Amino acid sequence: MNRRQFMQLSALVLAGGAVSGPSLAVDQQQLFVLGRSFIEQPVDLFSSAQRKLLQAAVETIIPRTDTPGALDASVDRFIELCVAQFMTEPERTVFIAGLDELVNAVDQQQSDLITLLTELEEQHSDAAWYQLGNRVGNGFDSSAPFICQLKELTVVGFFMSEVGATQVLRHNPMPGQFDGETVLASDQPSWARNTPGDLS
Amino acid sequence: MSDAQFDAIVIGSGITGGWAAKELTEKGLRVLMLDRSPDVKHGEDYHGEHVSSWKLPFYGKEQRQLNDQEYFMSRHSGVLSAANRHLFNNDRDNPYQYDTTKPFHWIRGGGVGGRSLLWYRQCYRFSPADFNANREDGHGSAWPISYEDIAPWYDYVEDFIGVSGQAEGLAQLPDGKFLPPMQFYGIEKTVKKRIENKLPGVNMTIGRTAVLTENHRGRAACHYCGPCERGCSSGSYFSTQSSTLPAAHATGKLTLRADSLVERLEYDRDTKRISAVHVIDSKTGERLMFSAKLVFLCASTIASTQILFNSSSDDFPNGMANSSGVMGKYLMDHTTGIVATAVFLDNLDNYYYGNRPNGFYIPRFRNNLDQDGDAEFIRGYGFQGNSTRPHWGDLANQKGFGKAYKDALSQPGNYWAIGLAGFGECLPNANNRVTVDKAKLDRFGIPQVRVAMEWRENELKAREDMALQAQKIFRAAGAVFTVTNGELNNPGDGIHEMGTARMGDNPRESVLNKWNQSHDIANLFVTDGSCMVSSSCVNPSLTYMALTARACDYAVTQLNKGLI
Ligand SMILES: Cc1cc2nc3c(=O)[nH]c(=O)nc-3n(C[C@H](O)[C@H](O)[C@H](O)COP(=O)(O)OP(=O)(O)OC[C@H]3O[C@@H](n4cnc5c(N)ncnc54)[C@H](O)[C@@H]3O)c2cc1C
Repeated sequence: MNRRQFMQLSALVLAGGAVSGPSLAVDQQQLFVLGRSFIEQPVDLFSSAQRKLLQAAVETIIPRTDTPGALDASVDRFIELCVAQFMTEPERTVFIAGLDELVNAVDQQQSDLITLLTELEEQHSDAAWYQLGNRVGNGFDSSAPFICQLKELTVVGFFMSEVGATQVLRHNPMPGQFDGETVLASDQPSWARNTPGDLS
Repeated sequence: MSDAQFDAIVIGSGITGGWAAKELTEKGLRVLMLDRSPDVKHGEDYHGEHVSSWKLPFYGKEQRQLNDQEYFMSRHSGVLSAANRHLFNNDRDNPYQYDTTKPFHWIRGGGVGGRSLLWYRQCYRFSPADFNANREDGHGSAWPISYEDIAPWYDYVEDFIGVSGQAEGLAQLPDGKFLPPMQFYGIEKTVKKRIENKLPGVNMTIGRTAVLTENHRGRAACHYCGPCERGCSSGSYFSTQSSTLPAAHATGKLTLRADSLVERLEYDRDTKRISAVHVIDSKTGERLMFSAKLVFLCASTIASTQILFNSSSDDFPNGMANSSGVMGKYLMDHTTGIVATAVFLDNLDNYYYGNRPNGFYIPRFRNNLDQDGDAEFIRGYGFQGNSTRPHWGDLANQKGFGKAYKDALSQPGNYWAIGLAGFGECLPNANNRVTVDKAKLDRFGIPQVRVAMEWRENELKAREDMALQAQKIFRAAGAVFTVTNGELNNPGDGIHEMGTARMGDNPRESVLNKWNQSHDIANLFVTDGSCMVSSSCVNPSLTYMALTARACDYAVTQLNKGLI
């Protein structure tokens, strides 16, 4: 299947036709051509209580300021998709248990969310995830505790999203030239990335 | 198809097959090019090119489950993603064998164009000393050619593909015909000045790369979007599709047949020639047979060796063209991997514009003229370096939430990081080898390849030295902080596998003569990495291209003289 055929296919989809791809790779190509964002697909893993808590948590980690925040970028949806499709079973178990603990803690009004998250971070401060030299890239640390999983997916779900890449970072898919010595103005955001872990 | 239809058959459409097709068609031959993989049309089939981050599955985080099951070798390339998966080999469907305690990673392409679409494009010439190394220290066997024999072909290839770089006048890294060099980052200029002042003999140059810095032969200069490995419709980097294939098609003499897996070659005892190429259509399973006066085997080192072993006959019981018995042996790769990373606090008011698809290079500085007194290894290595101004991904693994965390991650980190990856020469060793396993058949019933390779003492000693020297270099460069990495990549991870059908003057000790022609079979040429006699420490594909063009020139001359 080539781009031309995809265009025909996408016309079909937009006209309301059904598409079922013969393989995952082809499904992916359809996504590219249709121009849909990864998060524009159905997912139904979390309960409404879990969703509500997750929304509050991601917005606590990356709040709306004078620029958009995590919820503006639908980071909660990105995370639900990742927990459903990206995580391994053991990772998912860790995440859901962590999320449920937070739900309960907030329910019992022990303290506010930011205090709870800060406590969690202190509790796990010896996690490998925080060690020097570690970075958030294409992979995933299977040993990461819930709080680190949550932060990592929030950060990726935000800065790689359309909102994060174009409204918070600077997005320039077609630079046309390279200059290795531009002047860095203060408060100048980083360039958006092509993939979380690429070199450029 | 009738015998008269083709003058030459080229097996493989990657870096070397593309060159063979271009040269042979331009010299007037009617060429059939066969590749086991599906076609990939220039531009049209680069589905992931310029796709935004938010359209990638998991926004570009690795599709681990899929890779675990189907791309467990391809993932080691470091550039596999949803945006270019269709250009990679499916490792579940196309298995091979190795001892799991001594893994060899065979990283393959999965589309027409082979790895020419996926490579990192670094282009360095082997030096005169590289061609003498085996003769001088007695490892492996002597090269049948010298630097002077190949130099004009380096010129020829560089001129066609377009290599950007800086001439440096270094004996260990001969200059080529370069397009204007890519620029350094400011931090790299600082570091270069310090290193070259403090460490005589250590040089730093911009990567020499087959990426265009100006328009060249109908192809557009690079637009610095970044991920070349997704394919480039402006043809700004060298690939079969951007360069050699259009040239071959322009002659009107090329027939490209994709989905055509070459199973074996057939030898005719009377004419002492390859008389047929047996093909399985990998889509339909149909079996086909093609003939031509010349056969160019360019399926990549290991795949070509597999084809020759699977073409055994009464005349060649140990593998076609293997009367010497050395075929499959002396497999080489380069040791690779990040050796050290350092942090710099210079040039902090510098940032960058555009994504430079290239790094810098520190050419071999050990054992250059003579053996260094303090080196416990022979030969040498080079460093490929990359600089980054940290971004959110590098800064995320810290404590904190809220506005401060968001702001810190939105802006470039307050330092520069430079990583040095070592590329070490690998000595030819008869025990590093490729065979076929008749008990393990693939989905087409073809005996699978078995690869046995491990790093040996010289490679390991050189790797230890890399860590020491990298620290020395970073100290001289003014790093405030350096971390070294002891991990050595697996054989195969260098993706520079070569040497299993080496060239040589002596037919009892080599498979190919100095023209990449089989000693045993006059109409058989093997011009991919399998012909290599030693590995140097530089990326080898430019040398494969030059050898291919040279072999084509010779083959057509011989053909015209009626000698083939
Ligand atoms: C990520 C990456 C980075 C790299 N970076 C560099 C670099 O910077 N510099 C450098 O010099 N090299 C680099 N390389 C290595 C370079 O790509 C290879 O050396 C080069 O492509 C080898 O050319 P080739 O023609 O021998 O093989 P390939 O380009 O692999 O092409 C072989 C072709 O043969 C086909 N084939 C295989 N078996 C059969 C069969 N039985 N029948 C029919 N067809 C068959 C394959 O489908 C393939 O298309 C890199 C490779 C990768 C993957």
